[in-house]
Amino acid sequence: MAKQTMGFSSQALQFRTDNKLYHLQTPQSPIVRTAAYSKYCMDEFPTGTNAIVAVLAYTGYDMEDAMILNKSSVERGLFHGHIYQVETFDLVEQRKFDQAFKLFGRSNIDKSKNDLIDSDGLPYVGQMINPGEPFISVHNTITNTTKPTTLKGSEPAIVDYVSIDGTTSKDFMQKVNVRFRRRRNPVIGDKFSSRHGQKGVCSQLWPDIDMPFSAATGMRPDLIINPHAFPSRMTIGMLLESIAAKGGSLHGKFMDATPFANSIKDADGRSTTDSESLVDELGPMLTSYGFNYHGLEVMYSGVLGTELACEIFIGPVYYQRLRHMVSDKFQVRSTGTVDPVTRQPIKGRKAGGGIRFGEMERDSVLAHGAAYLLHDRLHTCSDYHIADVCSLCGSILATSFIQHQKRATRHIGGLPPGRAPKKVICHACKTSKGMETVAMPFIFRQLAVELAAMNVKMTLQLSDQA
Amino acid sequence: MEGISYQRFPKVKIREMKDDYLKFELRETDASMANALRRVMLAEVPTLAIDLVEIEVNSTVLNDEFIAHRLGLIPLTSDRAMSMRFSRDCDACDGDGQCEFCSVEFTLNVRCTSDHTLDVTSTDLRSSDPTICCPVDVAARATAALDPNSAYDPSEQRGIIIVKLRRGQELRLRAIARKGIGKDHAKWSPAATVTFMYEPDIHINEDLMETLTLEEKRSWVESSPTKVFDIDPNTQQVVVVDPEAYTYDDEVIKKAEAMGKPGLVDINAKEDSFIFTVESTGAIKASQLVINAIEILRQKLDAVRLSLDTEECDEQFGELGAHLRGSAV
Repeated sequence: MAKQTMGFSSQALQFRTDNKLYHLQTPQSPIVRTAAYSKYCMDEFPTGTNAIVAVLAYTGYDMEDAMILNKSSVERGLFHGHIYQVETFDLVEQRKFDQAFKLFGRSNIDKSKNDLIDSDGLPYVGQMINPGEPFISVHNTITNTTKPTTLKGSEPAIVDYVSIDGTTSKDFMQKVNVRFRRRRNPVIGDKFSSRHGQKGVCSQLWPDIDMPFSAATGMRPDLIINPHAFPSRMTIGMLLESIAAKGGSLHGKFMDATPFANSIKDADGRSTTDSESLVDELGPMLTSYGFNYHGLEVMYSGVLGTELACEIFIGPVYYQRLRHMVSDKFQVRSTGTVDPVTRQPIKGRKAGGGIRFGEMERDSVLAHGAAYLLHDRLHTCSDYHIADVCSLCGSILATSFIQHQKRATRHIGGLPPGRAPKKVICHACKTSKGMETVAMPFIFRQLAVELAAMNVKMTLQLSDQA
Repeated sequence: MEGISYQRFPKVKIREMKDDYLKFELRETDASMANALRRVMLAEVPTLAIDLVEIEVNSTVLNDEFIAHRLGLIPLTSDRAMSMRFSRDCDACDGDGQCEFCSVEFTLNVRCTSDHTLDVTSTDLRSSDPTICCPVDVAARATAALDPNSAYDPSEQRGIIIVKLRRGQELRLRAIARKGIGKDHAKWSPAATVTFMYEPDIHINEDLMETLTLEEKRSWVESSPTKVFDIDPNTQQVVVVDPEAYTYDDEVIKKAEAMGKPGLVDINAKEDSFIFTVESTGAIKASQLVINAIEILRQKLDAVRLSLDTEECDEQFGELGAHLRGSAV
């Protein structure tokens, strides 16, 4: 339950320095709960919100486990959250590497960082730090230099709390924890889940006025999920939770959902509940307040104001926000750093790398016959390289540039000086007669080099035939 | 303009009116008009809300953004909002909230010195001009103080809580309230709930009804979750007691079919009359909310009408503009 969820994980949050902590700003106590929930005092650490969930296919943005959130609900604080992250600076630990005695402190010469770093070398609490900006600085007493540490990552962070750990070496402050706070309000691509494993991704923040509304109460749902999420997964529990929570909220009481509670027998050996079916207990709770027995409601389209053809199943369901958020996961690259050996784009989100276009992707494009696209992806956008090949000996490694003596080039007004013609010579043939240029992936040249290191010579035979 | 006019003259009849609640009938118009009115009330009637917060000291348990968000959601009295300017098109200032035409400044300065928990509430917000704008509960208290007969009990009202303080904690900030609409952010929405229903037209087939026994009648009447029908204790006839309680849930029709008496009752929605329920947040009176909504709807329609014969029409309305222009010629 709590593993992937954002919640209220600690009461003493203000003074804690957990490495990384996902925190939900305004959690609620679930209306439908089990006996164990109360027994373990889970109310002290709630993990979700009782969202009004409507089950209908609306706009198409709720297909395939996507869900539509009500924009106004989000603006009122639904599923708002933070990530707390702590960075620890231990100067005693650092001393083991360079034996230099260090202290926190800012530079007296360079005052440009003074709006970010206080006179003690630590950041101001409450200050927003942008990526690449310094927030803490350390003074090295041996070299007499001050080195600031900059914020990593690609999003700004707010200094939430700074704590100083026990001053081990006499009176000098040697260990500091800086806690950063990053806002995580729901955006398209964030993941949410009910307690029945009905997880989904927010696909749209839909305007409140365009959401369907109940004719009787005027309520608009906080969240819309698609009815197709139910038949194959058979999560009847979620539907029952919705009805139970609706009844509970109408009657102003929490509902018990302890499993096997019906099988508990009293002293006479009878079941403690009268009815066979749970629905028979919940239905009358709804009808007593003028609602439909099965939790359905007549709704009007928010866009047109006309009645929707079907009655809509709507009710509160305890929804949790999961810690998988797009802002931590998105990966995008146009051009960027390349691997020095292969000259191909590097991998990894942190390093600003690309997503691998692998064999299966290649096969797929190949099957479509999209040859130019394939060439673009695998060659032009990757390690495109123009190699000089000696057509006489077939070598791509034995070629080298000849540096021309600087010639006095005539400057033509406004134009950049013309580039001196490249002269390439093959060391093996001692001539530049057979030099040709061939476009190839750079990794091919790397292959030739590696083979050469194993005493294998690779020769190319050039021809004009296609 | 040639052609038939589709102009209609909708009628409004107010049924119940309180400061924050209004129930009225809207007749002789269609669903598009009713829904337009609902949408404008929810998202386009302007109010004031705190939009800019400068925090000087915050040693409370809540972080700055959290407090700023909470301040934003406090409903402020916005009777003057219609005549105020949006700070983005205010010429007198550059939208920094220093001018009386577009903004109101608030300050909050609370420090807890006792061992008891101190609640910081909306009453601690000091408005630069309380006559224009202040938190709604403060305004309610002020009006109640003037009226000795009011049922308002100030001891029950503790204000809208912002944060709780313990000894030594302090919150000091400056906030600027600006004009805005609910479409931009829900905090500017003056309506808590706006809903309408089609007025039902219920006809009981008396002949068929008489074929039922009293027991059957009773079970049929009870099949509706809302109390629409009842049995007259004297004549033992089924009568419609509250047609508007009907929610179009078809329960009674299904029940009649299950009893083998289809056509026992015939219920239709009147296409041209609506019953509106409007609940206000308190920022403006519910009645004023409806009036403002109509005014804004008219302004929007004027904007369409005035731009009809201009070329900009195409840019603004795309195909719709071309269509409108085409029909105008």
